[in-house]
Amino acid sequence: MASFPRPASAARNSPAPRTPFAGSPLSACFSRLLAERRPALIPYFMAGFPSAAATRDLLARAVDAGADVLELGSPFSDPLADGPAIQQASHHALENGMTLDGALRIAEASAARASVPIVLMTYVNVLLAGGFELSLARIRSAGVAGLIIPDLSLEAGRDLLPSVRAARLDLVQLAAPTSPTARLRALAGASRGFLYMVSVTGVTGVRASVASDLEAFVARARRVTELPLCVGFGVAGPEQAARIGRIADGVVIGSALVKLLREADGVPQGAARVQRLLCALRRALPARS
Amino acid sequence: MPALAELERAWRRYRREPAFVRELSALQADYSGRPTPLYRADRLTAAWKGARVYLKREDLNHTGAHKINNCLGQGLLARRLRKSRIIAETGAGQHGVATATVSALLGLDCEVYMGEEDMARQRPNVYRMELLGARVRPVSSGTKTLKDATNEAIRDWVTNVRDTHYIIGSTVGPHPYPILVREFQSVIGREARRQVRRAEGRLPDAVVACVGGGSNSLGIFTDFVRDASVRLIGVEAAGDGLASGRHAATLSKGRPGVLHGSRSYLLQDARGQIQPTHSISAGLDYPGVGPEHSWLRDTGRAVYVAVTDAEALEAFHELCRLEGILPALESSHALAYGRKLARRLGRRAVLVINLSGRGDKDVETVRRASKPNLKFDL
Repeated sequence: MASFPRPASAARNSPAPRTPFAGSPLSACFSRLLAERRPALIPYFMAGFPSAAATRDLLARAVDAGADVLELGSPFSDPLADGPAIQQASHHALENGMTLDGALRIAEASAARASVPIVLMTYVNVLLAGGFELSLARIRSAGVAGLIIPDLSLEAGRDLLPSVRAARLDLVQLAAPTSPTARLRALAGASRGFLYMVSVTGVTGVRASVASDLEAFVARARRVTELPLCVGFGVAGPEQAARIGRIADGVVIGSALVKLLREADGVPQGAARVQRLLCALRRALPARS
Repeated sequence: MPALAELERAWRRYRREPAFVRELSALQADYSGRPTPLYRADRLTAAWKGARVYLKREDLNHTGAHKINNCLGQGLLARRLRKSRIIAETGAGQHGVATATVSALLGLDCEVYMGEEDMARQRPNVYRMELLGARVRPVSSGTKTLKDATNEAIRDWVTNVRDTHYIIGSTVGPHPYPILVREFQSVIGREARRQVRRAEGRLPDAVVACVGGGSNSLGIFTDFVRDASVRLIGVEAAGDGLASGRHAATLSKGRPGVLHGSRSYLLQDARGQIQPTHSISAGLDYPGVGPEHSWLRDTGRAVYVAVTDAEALEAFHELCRLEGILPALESSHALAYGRKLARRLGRRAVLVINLSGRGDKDVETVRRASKPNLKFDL
């Protein structure tokens, strides 16, 4: 597969040539979006919050609302990279008996219904517990396209990376605004599908505004990689999404959805509110002119 | 992770730099009171009817535990890294107090994360930290103990990494922390080795220390690792008993996994979820253990055992009555196993027990445990 076309606005100094993993559903998805010059809408849901059935329904509604990629969390007892909203959702999901297999059944149902790629986010101990390679095989056979493992550093992940590739899963790396350029280059070099740009230093959770140095951060990443850049952590609503959509290739929104679900008067109301917000976000992310 | 790389570079640069070493040694001597004594406990020896028992008196350090050894070292590193703010996690509160102390000494802002359950059982230490100018941040997530306080401290650090240094209190966490903490704590074993040779003209037969995350034990073990004749024994918290499921005996009952950035033994279920732990001592109430302990265990160089809350309490009272020393409940675990071992080793043997901290903070817990009807706030 050819390398990605780049948005015209991106600075182009001497990018490291990147060939995305051929045949990857995420690569295909972003190729299409970049051709349409449209940023991806990537909602996050925690499997089992508020319930397994509700998560299935939420994924279907997200697809209807125009989600381009789905991020699905599998709960962990100690979610280090997550703020209070997703911590509570994770805790709630575990209390509900949610497991990796349970999350994969939800993913499988969604994959059977729509061809929107699913990225699974969980912590490394969850994957190691059942044997790392066995876990990857189960994830792959559930139709999941990619993985985000926030507590697996680039260095610690080196030994595990070949198994991920062998399972034909895209491991998405996270880059932080504090990452020096050399590190950004290394992260992008190891990342597949897209590069997850953490908009602020810190954990997941809604912030009042997007960090002011986001443009500079995205521009810095553009100079070292041709991978699609998706921005997450701290995205609250359409206004921020629009600002991110002007510079990045995708917007991830998670904690804001979890909060809507938690504060709603019952699951149907929460699901309806989530769908409305996603439709608003979709409208806020028009094709770049 | 750039902050970890920065920390490792700083540590490699300063650990042998004469000015850094001089500053640290001076603080250890004049501020903390090192070297701490190695005390021959004759009444304890007589009562146990076995090996000659020596206590390494880390409880006599400034702030009452070995934790200050690491905080002084990391505090000086933080200043050289030009960080203006210090954060820490604490279980029993000893590491929090030591961090607050060093922050006051060096003029740095300090915030300490502490589980709500630990705040209730170690109330005197909460107030001590506040007196020293630190803010204590209650942690109400998860099990409300040391593990969750560590989660919160890591979340704070990744958010405020530009101006903040995180002083981890034990030999856990991501590289280079386990090595860094071990290095700053290994002064315990260097002194103990010299002191026991001066007193006995030979090396001890065994060295015993309690293991939560593992900093006091690794601190005293490290200099003895090369001495194959010296048995190294780590004592974990068996809580209500290993069979009860309510314990914190990670090396006795755990399986390898990844938590807080290192791969080590962990108390976890079949699906990789970290399990709740229990110990009467907040400092041992942790589902993980330092990775180097896992290595010492797997190579057989050290042996790990566990004693229950009840056995630790009995040892606590025994040391109070026989030697006039109030040990921390953590250290009481080492004493409880030392008692069993002393008898087995026999009268010719020499046994060193690390008395990692003093028990003033535990008085209320002990009082309540002795009289179950009493409430904390009486």
